[in-house]
Amino acid sequence: MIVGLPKGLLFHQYEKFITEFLKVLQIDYIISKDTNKDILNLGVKYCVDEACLPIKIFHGHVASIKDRCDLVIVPRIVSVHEKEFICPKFNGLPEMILHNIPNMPAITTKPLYLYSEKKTLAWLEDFGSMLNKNKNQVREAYIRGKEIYDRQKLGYNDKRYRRRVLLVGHPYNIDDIYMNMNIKKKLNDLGVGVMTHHYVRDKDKQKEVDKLYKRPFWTFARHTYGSCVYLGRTQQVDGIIYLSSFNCGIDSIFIQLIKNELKDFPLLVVKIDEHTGEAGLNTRLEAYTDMLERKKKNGSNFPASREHLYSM
Amino acid sequence: MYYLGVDVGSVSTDIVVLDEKLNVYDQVYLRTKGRPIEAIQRGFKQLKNKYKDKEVRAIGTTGSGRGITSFILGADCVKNEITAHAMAGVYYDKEVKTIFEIGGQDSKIILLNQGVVTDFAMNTVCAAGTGSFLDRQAERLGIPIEEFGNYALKSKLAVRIAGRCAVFAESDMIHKQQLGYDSADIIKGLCEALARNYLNNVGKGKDIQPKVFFQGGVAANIGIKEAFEKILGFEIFVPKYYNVMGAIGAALLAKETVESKRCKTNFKGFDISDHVFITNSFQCKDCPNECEVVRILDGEVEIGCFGDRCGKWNQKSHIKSS
Amino acid sequence: MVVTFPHLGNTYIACKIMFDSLGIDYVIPPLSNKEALRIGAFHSPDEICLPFKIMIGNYIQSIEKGADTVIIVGSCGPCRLGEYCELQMSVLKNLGYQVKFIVVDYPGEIGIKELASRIGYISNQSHKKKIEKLRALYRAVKAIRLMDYIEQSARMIAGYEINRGECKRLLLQCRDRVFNESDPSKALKILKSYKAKLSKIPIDKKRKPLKIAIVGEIYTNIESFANHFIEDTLMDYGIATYKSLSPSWWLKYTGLKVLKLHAVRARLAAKQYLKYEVGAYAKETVGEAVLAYERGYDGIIHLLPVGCMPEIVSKSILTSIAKEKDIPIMTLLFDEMTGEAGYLTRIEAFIDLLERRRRDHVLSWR
Repeated sequence: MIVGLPKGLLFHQYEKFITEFLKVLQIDYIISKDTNKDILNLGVKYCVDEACLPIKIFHGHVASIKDRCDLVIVPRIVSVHEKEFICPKFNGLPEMILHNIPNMPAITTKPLYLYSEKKTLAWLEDFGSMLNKNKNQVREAYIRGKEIYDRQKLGYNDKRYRRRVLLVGHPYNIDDIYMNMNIKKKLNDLGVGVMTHHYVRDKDKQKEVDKLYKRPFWTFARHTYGSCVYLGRTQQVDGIIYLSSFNCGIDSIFIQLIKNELKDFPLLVVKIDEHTGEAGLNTRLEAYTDMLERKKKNGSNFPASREHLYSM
Repeated sequence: MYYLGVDVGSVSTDIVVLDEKLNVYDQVYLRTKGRPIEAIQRGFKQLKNKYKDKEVRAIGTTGSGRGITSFILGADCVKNEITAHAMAGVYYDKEVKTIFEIGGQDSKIILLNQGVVTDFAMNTVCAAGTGSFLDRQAERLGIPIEEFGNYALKSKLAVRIAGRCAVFAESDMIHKQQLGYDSADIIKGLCEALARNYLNNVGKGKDIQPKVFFQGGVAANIGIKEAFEKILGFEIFVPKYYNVMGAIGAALLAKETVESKRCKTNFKGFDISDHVFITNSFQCKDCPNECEVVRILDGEVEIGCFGDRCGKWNQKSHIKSS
Repeated sequence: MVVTFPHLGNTYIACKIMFDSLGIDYVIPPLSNKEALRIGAFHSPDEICLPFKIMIGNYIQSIEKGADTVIIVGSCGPCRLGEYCELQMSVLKNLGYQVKFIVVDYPGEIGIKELASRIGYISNQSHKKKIEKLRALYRAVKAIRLMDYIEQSARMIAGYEINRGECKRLLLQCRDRVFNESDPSKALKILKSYKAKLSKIPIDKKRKPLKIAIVGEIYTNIESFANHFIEDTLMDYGIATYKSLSPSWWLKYTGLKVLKLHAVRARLAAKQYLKYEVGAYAKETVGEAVLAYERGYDGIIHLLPVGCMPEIVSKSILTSIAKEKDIPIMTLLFDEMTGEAGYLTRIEAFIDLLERRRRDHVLSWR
């Protein structure tokens, strides 16, 4: 029995856990390659056209390993926080995969509620039974996996750069350096340090989120909105770069809310879709950094939020 | 005896004349230039001296301007271009299972099973990959559009070009040009991008079976035909009258209609080229929908109305014409 | 207080009857139209789905006529509708409009108390007695059920009518007359009379018209402007159309959801393809498609706004249903750029396809 792990969507967040989990259970697994042109092409080929890029790329990862394994993990992550969701497409991910990609091996289809240990274990036990492992074995593997998972520190916060920006967006847009053309390195090369929302305290995010009329029911939106508005308001960073996949429903709402809230704060929205190339992105990042510099020098107000769909 | 078919597209207007044995006897190609009525009149002026009104047994219209021109011509059959293209494709080869049709501003795929349309799709996003877009790029590269395909064949290595959106494909192409790539390689890249894009967008999830017919103006481009063949791995056929298949389909459908109803044609005659047609529009204020109704006048006489939701104006004109 | 609300199919008729009965001032936005869409698209973020844009247009057209309070329903995800109110408030505030929003949200989220206070805020504007208020609500529910019934029947009977266009004329006339009647009890009478008229339309029972089921995202299903009046178009072609989604369907659905008895049949039918909740009504879409097949419909038209998150999932599944059950399904996407010409071509070609399929599966066209 070989388990296939597609390196798409939230894989990077849970990689440490799941690989340790499978190692303890002594199950062989394969991980798809880092996103590349072939994987992207496969995804575009199989996935419905209207879906967003991360979903297409996930399709590509699955398609690239489906013939080499017996069971693919297609996590239906409904929620990572109580009363919150990820995105409707996550809820229907296994169906999309099964109906879009022909000749699929077995996949996991049960919903995952990661905020509750009990529910997570229930999912893992079900998964374990597909691997012929009993509850005790699963529990043991879970504990070992979780230890490693808890020790990891997600996100980054660059020091010793002249300028610092907050990079926000869905974790898979930030983690996948093929998709975002290694935007972090580009920024670092321009002398700009990057931090992610992980380095903003939950308490501070929550304070901003509580000012909203309605409690947001998307986990990502809460982190993104909270950290952007908090850091923007307190001017703790020089700017904010919002990485957004084209046609993302969640971003379409929250980018506008952040803009309306922060008004003149320098916010650069970078939209990604399947068009390759990076000349345009380079130009935009350079221009944006220049603006930050100029602003710092003159202390003047300048038109701030800009939106770019780039592709070359 | 002749059967006429008229395909009024956004870019071009085609008129075909089929003889008794349904062979293409004559064809006229015109630029629509946003004025379908004028195009039709110009076309019929050319045909006027060659044929007599009573020699026409049936006339059909198709294409995006099929509605408006049907009033003027007195068409026996007004059909959408998907059905028309399928009809014509099947007429020439019963074995055809798939039809690619790429025209001026849109592209379609039609799947058939034993001559019956089982599925179809049209482009959803934009004009990337259609005729207008290719024209524009040919112009930019300074290559006549007729030569475009041959250039692609000269290339050994295609440059990768993003093809989903016209704007992006264009900026990508300019970028590659600036980097100094060879024109032939760029053109080949463009052809492959368009073929790939077509299959991923219009052809998404469709079971493309040979025999495949490639119709519409873009089928003239051998580079794209070859790109399709490379991706699909089998031969693609371009029928002889690839660029007027819609009009042929319309003529065949008109024949079918007249024969099944056993009626005479409504054809108004070749003289229509001398008439003065005026279209005007007004906003109907009878209900909150405030539809914009378009009215076509032949001199003083109202010959057709459309654009209303409730059918009040539309029906009026039907009663008059019948 | 002058209240307004976004359009959603026939709801404006029910709302009018309710507010007339309650004696509350209201403005009904002009029926969704191109201008509303233009205004809405201009002030909304580009990538937001179509309903949001039309709704913003509705609000602004109403505000210009004096409305100062907007009533909308909410939901708690995972689809975008739940966040509409937040962003709409923000958009209108940025435009300098002073309007109050009353969001009728799911009680599980905001609590029964909060919901009661929000509804109380509206209800307190009326000086009628409590019993009168209840009656207003009763009348509104009755009106919407009647209106939806009339619409649904007319769309179906259109396939069998002997005098072409009679059903459509009757339907449009009915809407028009109810809308121009400000006495609620008379309005209800009008509705009842049209229900009776409809049953007297001469029909040919032997006809076997093409039957098409319409499924998909709720707003584009119910608000005809958003789908370019697809059902009217189908009526013109003499097709019997069935669509389960309507404002009264939604009322029943939302009411029964508490007991988990909502849309039982559709959800059961969906089970084979989609076991879990995806958000909005994607599961119902899948279920309705399966039911349409089982009920012998010739084809299915699936409507959704561009970028609709839950319906992208159901679209993937519908492709398989079409293949496995051998029933043609056509998906139509709508946004502010949707043109009329390509849209009509698709519908006509789809009808042709269904007709030819029915006529003979074997014979070629010649």
